Amino acid sequence: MLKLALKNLTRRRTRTILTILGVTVAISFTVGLLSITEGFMTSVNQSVQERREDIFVLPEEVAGLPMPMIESYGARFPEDYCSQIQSISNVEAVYPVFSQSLYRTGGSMKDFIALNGVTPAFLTDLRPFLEVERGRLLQEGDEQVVVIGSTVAEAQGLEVRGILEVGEQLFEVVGVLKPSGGFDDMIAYAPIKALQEIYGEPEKITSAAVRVDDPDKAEETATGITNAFASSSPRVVAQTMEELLGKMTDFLSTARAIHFSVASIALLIGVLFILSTMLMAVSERTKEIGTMRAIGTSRRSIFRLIVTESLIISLIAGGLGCLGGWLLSKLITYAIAKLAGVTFLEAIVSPRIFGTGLVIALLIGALAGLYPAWRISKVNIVEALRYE
Amino acid sequence: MNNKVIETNHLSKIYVMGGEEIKAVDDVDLVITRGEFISIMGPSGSGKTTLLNLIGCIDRPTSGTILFEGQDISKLKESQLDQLRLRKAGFVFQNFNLIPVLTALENVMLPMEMAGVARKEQIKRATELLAWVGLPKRIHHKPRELSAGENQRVGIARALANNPTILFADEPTGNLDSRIAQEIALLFKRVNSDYGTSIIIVTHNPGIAEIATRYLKMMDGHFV
Repeated sequence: MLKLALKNLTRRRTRTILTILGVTVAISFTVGLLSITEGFMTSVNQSVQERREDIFVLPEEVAGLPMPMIESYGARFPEDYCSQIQSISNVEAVYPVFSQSLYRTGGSMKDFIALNGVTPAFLTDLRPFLEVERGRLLQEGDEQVVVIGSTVAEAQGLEVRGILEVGEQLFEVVGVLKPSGGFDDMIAYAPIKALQEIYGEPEKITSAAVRVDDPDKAEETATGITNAFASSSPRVVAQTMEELLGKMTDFLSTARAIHFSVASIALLIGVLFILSTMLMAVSERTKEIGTMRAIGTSRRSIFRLIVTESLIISLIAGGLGCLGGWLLSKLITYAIAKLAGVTFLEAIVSPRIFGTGLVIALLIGALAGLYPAWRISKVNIVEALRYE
Repeated sequence: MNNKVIETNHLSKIYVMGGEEIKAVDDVDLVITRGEFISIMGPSGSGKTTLLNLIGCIDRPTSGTILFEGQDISKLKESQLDQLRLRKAGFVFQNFNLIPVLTALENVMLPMEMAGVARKEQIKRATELLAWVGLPKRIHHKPRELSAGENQRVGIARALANNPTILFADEPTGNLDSRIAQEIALLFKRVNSDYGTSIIIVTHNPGIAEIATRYLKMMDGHFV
């Protein structure tokens, strides 16, 4: 029966191949999109989870905007807030940050550098996962120096002893970091004092990272910080890292929902492709199927034969589609890396995603096969035999 | 043992076409005994094929009964009729109706596969049958690589696959030239004598009518 199903697919080779290709494209898109979304979520989660701060303090006006740890949006608050924060119970340490986005020529992601002014302790205490590839980290007493992430180094062609121009001042590269696989690779770290001076904003910071003694009480502490500055100007908002992560996950879930709807359309197209092929195929074979029924083949066997043919098409397309999806995701991440310099976006093609691709293919095959199989299996034998 | 393979009582099939009733088969009583070779002749539209379809269990009568080896087939479920056709009946068609993507051997194996015969046994029996119908060297050819006469031999071998009690043939020589038609007629005769299979053939070919053991003529839905 399987053999007959396979042979039946060779009757109209071009049609079978075109159908397989159509479904392959649909599944490739689905698998490709899923891989990229998955990769992006994993990478964001990792890089946020590895951070050691418990609370992130931001000016109130930017608290709801995405990626606050990279982009400051120009909002500031006084550095002396840090000593007040320090005095709040459960706060272990406060790390001031002055971040400034640098857009080199162009303005694409590749030309973007998130310049973070930090203390040496910020890197050693809060970013222990950042390792030096060449050179060194920041030290006390550093002035116009910078430690750069691997993407920055690659995109700007910078090396240790290279010069990065910041606000018409020259900063010497003293260290290049190993790729971390997160968006830290797009960050350059400079001494906070030096940046504050260059931008003419001494005693101003864009955010503060806070570590607490008891992480279980982080949420209360964050509320305490927010409340402590309720009557100050500017006001600040303290968010736990969990909150921030939650927001980012929400954002990505939305992205995933959109991807799923795109994928669903692709699947619908897959079903329609096979459906039309199978309807044509059974219609052409009406007399033959009538003959098979006459010589004693049961309705159920005919039904199974047609569904099997549909499943063979969809499974071949599923296999090819997984392969195509993998290639597609590689191609897209490669293109993003080349064009935008975002190297941390690595598509993840896991067995789970391949599994999803194949299950979807099976669903397409089953759904598209059922109607033609049902229709032809209930054909009247006498009429089918007369069919020309 | 019941010697009657088929027995019909007041068998009728009425079609309604454009509000008009057409009695394709009209009150037919027919008994076919084991090993009988019957030919049915008659003009087009006289109800020969409809009768064959009724007693071959691929069509249901409007009224009357059909006993197949003593069993009233009106009481059988569709799946039981499938099994009856598969195991007890063989069908030979005017246009051969072979599966074009399958080889001669595979075409003959198909009914055995449906009947759950072991694959090894299928190959053995199909090979023997194809040799018996005179195609020992053509078993791996597909229908389009065979002549009309050869295709009909494959069709006969397929009909014999599950060793049926009765063979139904609807104008089996209608698409063959007279010399080949005569060969096929003789092959039916051999089926009848070698296997003892009852045969009922609808034909326009007087050569076949001649070698049959019983000759029936149909007109307006009944025998004359």
